Amino acid sequence: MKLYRTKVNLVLVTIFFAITLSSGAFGELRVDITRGVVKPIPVAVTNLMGNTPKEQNLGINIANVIKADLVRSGLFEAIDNKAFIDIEPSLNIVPKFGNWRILKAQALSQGKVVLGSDDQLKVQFRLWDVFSEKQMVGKVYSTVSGNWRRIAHIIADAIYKRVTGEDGYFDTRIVYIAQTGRSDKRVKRLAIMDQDGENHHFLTDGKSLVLTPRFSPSRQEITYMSYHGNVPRVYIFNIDSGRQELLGDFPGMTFAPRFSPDGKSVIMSMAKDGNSEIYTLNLRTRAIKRLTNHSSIDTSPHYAPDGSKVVFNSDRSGSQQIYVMSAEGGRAKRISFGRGNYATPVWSPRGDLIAFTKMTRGKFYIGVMNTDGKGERLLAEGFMVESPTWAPNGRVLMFFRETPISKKGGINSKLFSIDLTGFNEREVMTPIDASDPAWSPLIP
Amino acid sequence: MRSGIMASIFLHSAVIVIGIFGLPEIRSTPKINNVPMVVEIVPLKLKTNLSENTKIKKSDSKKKKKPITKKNSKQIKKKIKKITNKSSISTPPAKMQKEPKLIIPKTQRIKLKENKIIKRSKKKSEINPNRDLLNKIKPRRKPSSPDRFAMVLRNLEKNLEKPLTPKKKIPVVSKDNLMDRLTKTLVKSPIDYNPTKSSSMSERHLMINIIKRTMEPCWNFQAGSKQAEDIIVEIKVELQPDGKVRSARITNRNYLETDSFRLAAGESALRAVLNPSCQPYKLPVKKYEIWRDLQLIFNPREMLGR
Repeated sequence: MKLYRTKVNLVLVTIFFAITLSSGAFGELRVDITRGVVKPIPVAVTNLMGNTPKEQNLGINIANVIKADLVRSGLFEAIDNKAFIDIEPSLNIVPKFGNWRILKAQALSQGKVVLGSDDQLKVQFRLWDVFSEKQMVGKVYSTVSGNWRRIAHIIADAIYKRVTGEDGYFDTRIVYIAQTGRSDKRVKRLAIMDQDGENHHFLTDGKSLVLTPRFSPSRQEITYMSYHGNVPRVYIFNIDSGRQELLGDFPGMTFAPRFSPDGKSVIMSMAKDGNSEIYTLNLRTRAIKRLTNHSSIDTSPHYAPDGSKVVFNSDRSGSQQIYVMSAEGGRAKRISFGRGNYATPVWSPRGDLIAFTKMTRGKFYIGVMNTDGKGERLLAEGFMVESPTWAPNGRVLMFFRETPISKKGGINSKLFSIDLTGFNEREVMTPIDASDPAWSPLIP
Repeated sequence: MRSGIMASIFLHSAVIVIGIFGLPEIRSTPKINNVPMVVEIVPLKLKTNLSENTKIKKSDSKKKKKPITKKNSKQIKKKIKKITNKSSISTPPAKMQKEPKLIIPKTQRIKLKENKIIKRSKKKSEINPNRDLLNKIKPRRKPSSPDRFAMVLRNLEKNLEKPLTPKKKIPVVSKDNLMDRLTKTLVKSPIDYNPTKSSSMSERHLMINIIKRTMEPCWNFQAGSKQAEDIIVEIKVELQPDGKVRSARITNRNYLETDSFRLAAGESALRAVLNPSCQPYKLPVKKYEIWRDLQLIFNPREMLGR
């Protein structure tokens, strides 16, 4: 019996060893991949299917807008439709991924358009991972047919978010100052357009000088300054309703106020008795609160996305630099220390970076830095570049660049966008000269 | 009773030993010591497992056809010495400000060059018939117009510090060590591997480098993501004997699914592994047991300068 037991035990032990050795648990080869490439992701966007010619036409238009949005971001590369080998006739059929792998597509976008009799547009959309052969996104959207562009932007946002992890920014608008006329008799009008330059129209008639539009981060409202009767007045304008409200007369103000993250108050700088300080104004109670109390010029305040801090511009150290303080006021900490002057700081909606304008060695630059001042990088340069504004996802910046046309005078002013990595600088097409862009939040 | 106790002790110790050697988390991975590589040209015959069917022999046979003349070169050398001695004496030391020029007749000059070239080629072919393979390993020159994504995060401030004088194009020796350059050559042109022949390099280290070099062009990294430097992706890969990927799965998925940036980074790394453009891995079939199971760790810190 004893012998039998020992034999059984030995057999069990042998089995244990055999299993362990054969599993190769300690035979794995560990490889650290520390280098990669940074290049656009190839994506195939097929025309959205439709039964009628009108639906098919809409399908082509929507696909083109999606492709344009993704390519404009600089993070995607759209594969030419002419290279497509085989397109599935129905959304319910799983794609033949081998055909898309040949084209080196990493993601595949398919969709279908259905137009109802009551002018209702229904769009179905799927996003596929070509390599792992799995569906990444599947959604259905419905709206009136006239809103087909918004559907395209929303689908582009969904693809963008799923592949990069970043929130989208394609379903947004840009408000800016449109400029015409000679440099000494410049006519400035408030204008609005989609972020891709479509649906452009003017909001003011140009009779009064308008400056510095600011978008609310939570609503489709803007503040802007207007010099009606040579008195600087601040207005709040609701884009959806078209309703305009006078916020008040603010003598000594040079920039329009900026909204707080919750949209309930605004922050601004005002000059009184030759001294510029920072104030907040509750939009409901109209109560004003002073945040800074210094003999220097404190201006250009901007809230952090969580509303707890404020970044602003001050010359209290002898030159224009960037400071951060609590949203309640108090001690300010300097965060800019490079050579030159800093201005117009704007806190990223992502919360991790602050964009600014820098003047050094006779040139202007748009740059970003961490919220503690470290990691300063200059992204764009020019004779005059200014007024950076963040896309709502905190990934893309927009600014304006002025370039002299000739020695006699005349300035060319255009809008540009750039990725926060410093790449993909692109001109934003406007019908006339443009400056002071303000980026809206995502349209609800 | 005793036998029962002994058997119990034996079994318990066996379980402990299995746990130590069997569980990968407990057993630390053996450190690969980076032995400093001496940069020295050595005959490939002794150090690699080149088969006889490579192209090297054909080029050697071509070079052997060129004639060699030793006598002429010696005679010309003697003549040069005489001429140089004469020229140095003729110029007065007071007036001489420049170095004495060699006055060599043109015909002789041309012949001298030809002989020198012939001499060198002959020596090469005699001593080292496999020199062509080593010649493939050339120092890389910096590209004249960098790709727009060559630097991960752009900073115009570096341009402010550039000197005004134009830089001369000096060929820069690659920072890659000999191991990396040889790995590149192996990846580009597969060489028949004969395991019976011994190799002086660490096999595992070479395989790791091959996998790295193959994977790098396919890992499309999102440089602008929030806290991108902190996102680490771990993927377990099983390879087929032909070097293609049989299966791949993310092993730290729970960590990655907490954030959209992390999830996107994980899927981007998985796409890099599954990308057919970076398959098959050109690894030695006879050593399949070593490279069958891979644990890939995608860590972007080095790229972001952290």
